[in-house]
Amino acid sequence: MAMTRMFCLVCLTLLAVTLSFTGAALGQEEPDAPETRVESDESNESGPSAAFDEDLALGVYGTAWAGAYPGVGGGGRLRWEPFDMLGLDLFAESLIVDNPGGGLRHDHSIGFNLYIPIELTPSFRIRPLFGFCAVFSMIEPAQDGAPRADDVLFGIHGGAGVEWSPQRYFSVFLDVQATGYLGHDRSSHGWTGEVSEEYGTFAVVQASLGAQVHFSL
Amino acid sequence: MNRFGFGIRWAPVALIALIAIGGCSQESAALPFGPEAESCGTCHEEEYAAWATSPHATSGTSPVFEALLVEVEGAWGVSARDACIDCHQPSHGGPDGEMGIGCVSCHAATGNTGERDGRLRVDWGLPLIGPTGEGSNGAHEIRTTGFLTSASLCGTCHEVTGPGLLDEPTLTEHRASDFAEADISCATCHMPEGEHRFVGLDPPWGASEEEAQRAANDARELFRDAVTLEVERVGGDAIITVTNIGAGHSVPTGAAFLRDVWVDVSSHGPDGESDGNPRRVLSFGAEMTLNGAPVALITDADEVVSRSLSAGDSRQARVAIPEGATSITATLRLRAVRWDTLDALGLDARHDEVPTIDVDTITIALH
Ligand code: HEC
Ligand code: HEC
Ligand code: HEC
Ligand code: HEC
Ligand code: HEC
Repeated sequence: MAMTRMFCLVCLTLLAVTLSFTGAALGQEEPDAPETRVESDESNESGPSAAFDEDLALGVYGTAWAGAYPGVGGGGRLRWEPFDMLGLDLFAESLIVDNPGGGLRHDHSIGFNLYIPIELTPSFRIRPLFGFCAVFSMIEPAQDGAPRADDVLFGIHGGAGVEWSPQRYFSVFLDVQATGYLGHDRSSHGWTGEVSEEYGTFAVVQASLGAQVHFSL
Repeated sequence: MNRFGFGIRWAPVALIALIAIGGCSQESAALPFGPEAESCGTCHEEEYAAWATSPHATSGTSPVFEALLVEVEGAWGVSARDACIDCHQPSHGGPDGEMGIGCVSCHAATGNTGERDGRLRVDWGLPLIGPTGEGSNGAHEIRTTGFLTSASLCGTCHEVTGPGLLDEPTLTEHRASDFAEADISCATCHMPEGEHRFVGLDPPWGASEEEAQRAANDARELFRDAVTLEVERVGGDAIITVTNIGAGHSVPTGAAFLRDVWVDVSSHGPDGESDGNPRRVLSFGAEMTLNGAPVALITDADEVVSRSLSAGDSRQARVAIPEGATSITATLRLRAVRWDTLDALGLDARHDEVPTIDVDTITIALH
């Protein structure tokens, strides 16, 4: 109980940190950019293409799960592209997930994507990606006082994304990925909160739609 | 350089942390007296007296249970034996508590981690659970939850999947019955007006003759509500029909591997003389075999087949009427523990405590 609340707290904190970074970056980008990116500024005064030249980006997105766990929610991510052909996203997501037995199920995942950015035009990229995540999955029982059926799931995912930058420092994106989770079968209904002792696998397809700001330090 | 404006940025974090921590604090109301049934009984005399004669009070000390434990350990191992004890004597009222299912097993139950195998959660640090919620009178705190009167509470223990060949799906049977659909749950039938005697088939081991007689009558009455017996003549045959009309589960349910429920049929000649011994025509207790041969103990068996009669179902037997018979009599009989099982457990000295109960008898005249 206390553990799961801790997990929850950690996840919410991560999400909040990401969101506030994003907010801050959105507000701060204008004054910074000219200082650090003098060269590209000249050639791309109002052009979109240079967004992908930046090493870092912060994104926020809406996301949905289909398959074993239908759900909707949002997430934030911090990205770093140390090489032309390799990037890393660290993300945190929170979703409200359908729970057939009633009660509120909310899942909080943290994880990473490794991806290969492939620039088709200066303002349009596709990116095959794969990664891992840990999901802290909480079920608030419908009946007050009923045992909880919380679990930690581990996921491995693969998929692809598209990104389009209509503006300097800014892009929108869509990712679609398939995730295989390792976790426990659970049943939470009435006064029952049951977590099976054996591990099981669960398949989810996830789609995320969002926006990001690009910058370099 | 306060590039990102730290003060404002941490505000949502702090807010969320506060909310999360706030949700953690939990009130706990310690019980102002012991959790043992005896301590509840000092004020709740009526419930205590009824409970004390119930099978719940002796679930860890019944002689059949204790004798079977020895067999279980020999046949299925120590961990199987421990599993029996965990459910029959869960010590919810503390290590010095009652030897069975005490008050707090139900009145401090907060839910279960599975509706089976005794996976009950009990916490008597929280206010006790009652049907009306009235009782915050200084004696102790009380609250109501739907769990107390739900089939889920009873079913947490009355749904057994192992150890060994044990299979007692009372909750599943109940859920499949029309009674569950009509919201008639275990307590509705088994606790008429809230009484705590939990009448079933088990005899009150070691009780006075009077008490034993009363328990046998109660079992008969309960069983009569559940099952009807009919006899009909069709040509040269008598058709015997047994129907489970009133039990919210199969008959017998639960420990069907101990029970003997059957119909004896006998016929009489013109002078009223019986034509030999009665014939057993229908048996509803579980059938236990080893390599196909019948055995008396579940621990000796390699197969247990349920012959219980599901809620709402009927079973029939057809008996040829002997030449010259003028009447035929069918008797529905019941024993809480099979005769041969008592013997096999070395409890032959206690046959007297396990009466054969005649539930119903029907005689039809043949002309
Ligand atoms: C197997 C579960 C179970 C056990 C054991 C049990 N109770 Fe109950 N008790 C109930 C249920 C269920 C009710 C609600 C009955 C109803 O209203 O239909 C109840 C009701 C009550 C009530 C409210 C008044 C009444 O009689 O309806 C009291 C008081 C009470 N129990 C005390 C006790 C005490 C004291 C013990 C132990 C000696 C005890 N109970 C053991 C299940 C249990
Ligand atoms: C998860 C709970 C649970 C477990 C585990 C369990 N039982 Fe029971 N047992 C019950 C219930 C409930 C009943 C009452 C059913 C009935 O009366 O038909 C019962 C009834 C009995 C009875 C008949 C009543 C009596 O005491 O004379 C015996 C004997 C018995 N069990 C023995 C065992 C043995 C031996 C084991 C271990 C191999 C075992 N039980 C494991 C729940 C359990
Ligand atoms: C000091 C006396 C006292 C003791 C000890 C005590 N109770 Fe009570 N309890 C009361 C009184 C008084 C009431 C309110 C009147 C009534 O329902 O009998 C009550 C009410 C209840 C009720 C009914 C609440 C309702 O919703 O109707 C339950 C159930 C109950 N007690 C269970 C227990 C259990 C279980 C224990 C032992 C752990 C226990 N009590 C010990 C005095 C006591
Ligand atoms: C904590 C576990 C547990 C809970 C909860 C529980 N029971 Fe039981 N019950 C048992 C066990 C174990 C036995 C077997 C005792 C015996 O017969 O020796 C039993 C026996 C019985 C019997 C007597 C069986 C017989 O053949 O004589 C009845 C009736 C019964 N329970 C009804 C209920 C009802 C109704 C509820 C819910 C209000 C309930 N039980 C809740 C464990 C439990
Ligand atoms: C519609 C009324 C009704 C409901 C609902 C009901 N029962 Fe019964 N129960 C009976 C009758 C009648 C008998 C006697 C026939 C028999 O022995 O099966 C009985 C017998 C029993 C017995 C002991 C006798 C045996 O067969 O071994 C147990 C234990 C029991 N019930 C538990 C439960 C539990 C647990 C539930 C809820 C999951 C429940 N009952 C629901 C009516 C009901």
